[in-house]
Amino acid sequence: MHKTSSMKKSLFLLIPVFLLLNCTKPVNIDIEDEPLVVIQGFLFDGQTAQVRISRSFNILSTEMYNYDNEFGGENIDTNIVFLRNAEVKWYEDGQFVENMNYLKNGYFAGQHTVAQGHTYRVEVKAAGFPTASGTALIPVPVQLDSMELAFMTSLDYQHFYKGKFYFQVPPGKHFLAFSISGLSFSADPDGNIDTIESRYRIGQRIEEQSLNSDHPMDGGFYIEYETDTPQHIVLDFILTEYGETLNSGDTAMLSALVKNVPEDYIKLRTSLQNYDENGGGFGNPFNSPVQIYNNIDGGLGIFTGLSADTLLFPFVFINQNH
Amino acid sequence: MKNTLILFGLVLCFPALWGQSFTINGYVEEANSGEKLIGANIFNTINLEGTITNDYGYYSLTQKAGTVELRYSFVGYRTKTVRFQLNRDTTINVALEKDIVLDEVVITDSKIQDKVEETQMSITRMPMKLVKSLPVLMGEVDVIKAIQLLPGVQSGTEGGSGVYVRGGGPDENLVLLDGVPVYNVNHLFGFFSIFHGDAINSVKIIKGGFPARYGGRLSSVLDVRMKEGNMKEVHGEGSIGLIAAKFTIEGPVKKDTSSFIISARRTYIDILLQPFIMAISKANGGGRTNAGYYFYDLNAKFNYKFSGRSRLYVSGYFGRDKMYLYNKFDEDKLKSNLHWGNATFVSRYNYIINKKLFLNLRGSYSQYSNTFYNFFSSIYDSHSESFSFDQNSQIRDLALTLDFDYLPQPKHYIRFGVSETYHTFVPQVARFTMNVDDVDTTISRGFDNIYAHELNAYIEDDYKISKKLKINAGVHLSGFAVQQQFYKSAQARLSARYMISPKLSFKASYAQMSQYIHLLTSSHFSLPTDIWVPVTAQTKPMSSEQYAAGLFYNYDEDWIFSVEGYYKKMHNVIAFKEGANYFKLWEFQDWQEMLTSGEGWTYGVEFFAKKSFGKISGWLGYTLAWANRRFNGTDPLNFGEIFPYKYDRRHDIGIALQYRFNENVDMGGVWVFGSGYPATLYTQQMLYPNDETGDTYDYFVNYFDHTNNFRLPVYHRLDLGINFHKKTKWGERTWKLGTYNTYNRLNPTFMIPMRNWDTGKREIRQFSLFPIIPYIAYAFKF
Repeated sequence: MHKTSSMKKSLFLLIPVFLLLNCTKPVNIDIEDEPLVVIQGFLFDGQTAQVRISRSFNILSTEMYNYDNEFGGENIDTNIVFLRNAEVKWYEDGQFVENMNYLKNGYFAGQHTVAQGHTYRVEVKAAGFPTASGTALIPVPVQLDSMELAFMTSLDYQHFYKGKFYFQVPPGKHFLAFSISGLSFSADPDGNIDTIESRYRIGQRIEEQSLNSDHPMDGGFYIEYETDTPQHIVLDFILTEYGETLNSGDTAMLSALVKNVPEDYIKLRTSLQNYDENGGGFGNPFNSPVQIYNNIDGGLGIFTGLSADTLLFPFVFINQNH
Repeated sequence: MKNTLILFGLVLCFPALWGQSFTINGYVEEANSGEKLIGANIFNTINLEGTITNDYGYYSLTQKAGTVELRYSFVGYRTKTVRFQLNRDTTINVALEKDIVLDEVVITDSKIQDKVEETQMSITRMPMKLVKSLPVLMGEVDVIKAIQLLPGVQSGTEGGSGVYVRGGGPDENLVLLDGVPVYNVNHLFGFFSIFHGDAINSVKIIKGGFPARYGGRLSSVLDVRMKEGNMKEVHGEGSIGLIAAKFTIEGPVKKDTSSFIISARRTYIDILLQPFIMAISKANGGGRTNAGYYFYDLNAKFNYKFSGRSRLYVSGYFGRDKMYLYNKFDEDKLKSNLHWGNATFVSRYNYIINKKLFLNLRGSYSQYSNTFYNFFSSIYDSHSESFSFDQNSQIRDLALTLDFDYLPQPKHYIRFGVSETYHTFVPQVARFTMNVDDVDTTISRGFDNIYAHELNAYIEDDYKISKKLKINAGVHLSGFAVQQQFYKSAQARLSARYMISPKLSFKASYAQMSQYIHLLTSSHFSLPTDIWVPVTAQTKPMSSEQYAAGLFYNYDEDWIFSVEGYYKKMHNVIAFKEGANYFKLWEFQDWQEMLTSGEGWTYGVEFFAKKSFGKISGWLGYTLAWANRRFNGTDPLNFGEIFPYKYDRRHDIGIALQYRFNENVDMGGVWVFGSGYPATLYTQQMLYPNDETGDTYDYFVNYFDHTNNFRLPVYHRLDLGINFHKKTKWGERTWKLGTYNTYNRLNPTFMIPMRNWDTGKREIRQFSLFPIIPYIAYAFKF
């Protein structure tokens, strides 16, 4: 009896001790990683060469921010982030062409116009950083011949259209990015049409995408296509419009865009989207870290070529309620 | 393969070719309880031929007519010798008595020389006596935690009962309880295992060189056998610890004919804390609150001896974990609970068809399920509303197995059998119900059930070619029918042992394995909501080939030293796609969309030294290993490049020691050391390359150059415990005292970058779970 009583006392004493000790404790550790030059270069066929040059920071650094003490916010200090004094050299097909000059907002530009079929290289030297460089081939453009759009039926409270892209694909392996701007739209390839296999699409759920004029590359869809001979292709798609306040019969000018992009570009966009969807890596141990695609030697970022074709398309709005 | 089958056919059909011989057979059991002794040694001292008892204590030895002197031995028991003239088939059932003198100083373990001589490599039989004496987390005896101390076996996160064998994943281990697969061996998020030490008879783990009778997983087989129950008299044992109490009782139903064992365990921390939770809730104006967590296990087994030739075993396990929360505040009610657990049931029938052929027929049911339920109701302005959400996932198996042991002569031990398992997978089903002013709205969502048939057949022969060379050759055939798809595989198994000297052997093995089910897991912790899913038309079976070789040395009949090297290649291993994780399951229309498949390589060297006798006993294990993965298919990870597996641990040391001061006091110690596991940490920040126009807003994104680019700090921990035993009038009592993590090492569980809002700076923080944790427990036995 006495022993049992003692044991109970012991238990009641030890349990709170256990609970007190059984807690999570943070431990600070150091992580070292040298900052690098970051190159962002999207080279469009027929446009002047332009690249954005900035620098990276150690993950623990906060020096690139100006703190707004009043509101506790963070503003990017562009004086630190952009490498205005960097030496940026431009090469075409292995030959030096020019030194690029700083414009604004981190951008350097040259006089040279980018052309399809050529390979470009940018080399960036900045004090305190390893030399960084990137190489890109400007792909042959895909020609967008025409487009059709037909009102089909209502889909919940949205307006639902079926459309077709008619375009020509040159020989080779292509990653094609389709988008439509002008209204708030979601577009989705409608099955495997004319041997085109839908492989990449930014966004798991189409209803969360938006294609609007401010962000021509947000949303839309990507396909992968390989051919030995030039092909005329018809691609069916579904278009869902929402959020607009047009009246039935109103006309809007839409801009359909098809871009021929390299695989690097697809990898970048896909990784960025995964990154965004996964919370950006801070604060949740259950989130899977997402690796953002990088194709810069000695640095970070993306350097890639694109060719695009645009088609303007008058769109007559049909209000399902009328 | 065809030739192998023909050879086995010949072996089975023409035993008479081996000449005029007679067979001695029977059971070897413990004298006091009638408990069958698994792996007992039977040895003819005249011609040096012998065999061992199988998993049911049965043996069969065919000898030429003449004088035979059989020596029956099992470590910890007095050896018994029987000498007689063999002139006809003879049955000898032997009961071995515990060696009281030896028992005081040894750990119950099989004979050292047997380990050197057996064909099987990469196997460890866990001595339960030592397991019980080791210090453990919160005083709960845990077989899994003891296994984690072995070379080649790693734990996952701090304190967890996860088992990662030779670079394999947590779902690549076949865990058998009385021959029935168990799908979740964890309680309390993996901090405890479901195995109740007092109810366990034997535990063995096989990491490679798998005999053909095992199949279905790539990396290991953990075979746990429950006690059968004392055939002679009633006994009981139990303990009361910091968080749990348990009790086991066993005894004869009819002496020497039938017996039972019932074992139960329950945690009671919820009961102890309940008054505090209610008081705190009330003091803070939170209404009436009741919250807690508990788990319980129930093991039961019954066996009945129909005759000397046939015997029936019926056993079951039922265990549940439950978390609950109830709150009532004015007219608002909240009720929430999460419960999960296993249920297994198995009925086995042993029959000695003839003296050389032993049959085991097994019918079994295994289920694992988890359920989450949440309910909220409220009344305001005479309106009532309520919301409920319940979610369930489970896996159910119905299986029928037929195994044969055939011992035509001492040189051959043939096993063959077939099995069929009907799997039902309920990946996840959820229902949301809303009731507003007595109007019900219900939305259901979930993945479709999947039904599958798994077929297995095997044949193997443990063949002693010469005194020096012995092999175990076999083939395991398996098939899996699911979604109009039938996957099949033929897996070759071969192990060989060569005696370099009487005390030193060389062993080598090759094993092909296939696996048809996967576990979708959160990866950081063992969550009860982890989901078992099968291969489908889209997700292919995993497979592996493992090569292993090693040396085994018996020193002074007390020490065994072994060194093993292995190389394992795995195909179709699965992982979450980049950006997907367990907690995004609901965002996918189909769970298969979340997965990507790739390949893995793992290789390493394991050193093991074990001392089984004397005042001090225990083992030391060291592993040097590498484990890598590559996913370079349609949905690549790490952009298709090779990266270290998340449980790639370069150095791993486990030491378990027991020191017996006298018959009243013994002490146990465990020290573990492991290199840091890989982890992925963002190392750089850069401006978001938002689009090609450059006109959009800027913000920073985080970057790392490759998956698992960082190593967590090393893990090490010392646990110490002391046990005070005392004989009493009614039996024996033991006080157990000890500490887990004795020197209070803050070991890493995970790291994440965070902003310290006090300093405004960013920092990487390591989170640790368990500091020093003392324990005390009272155990008794009668």
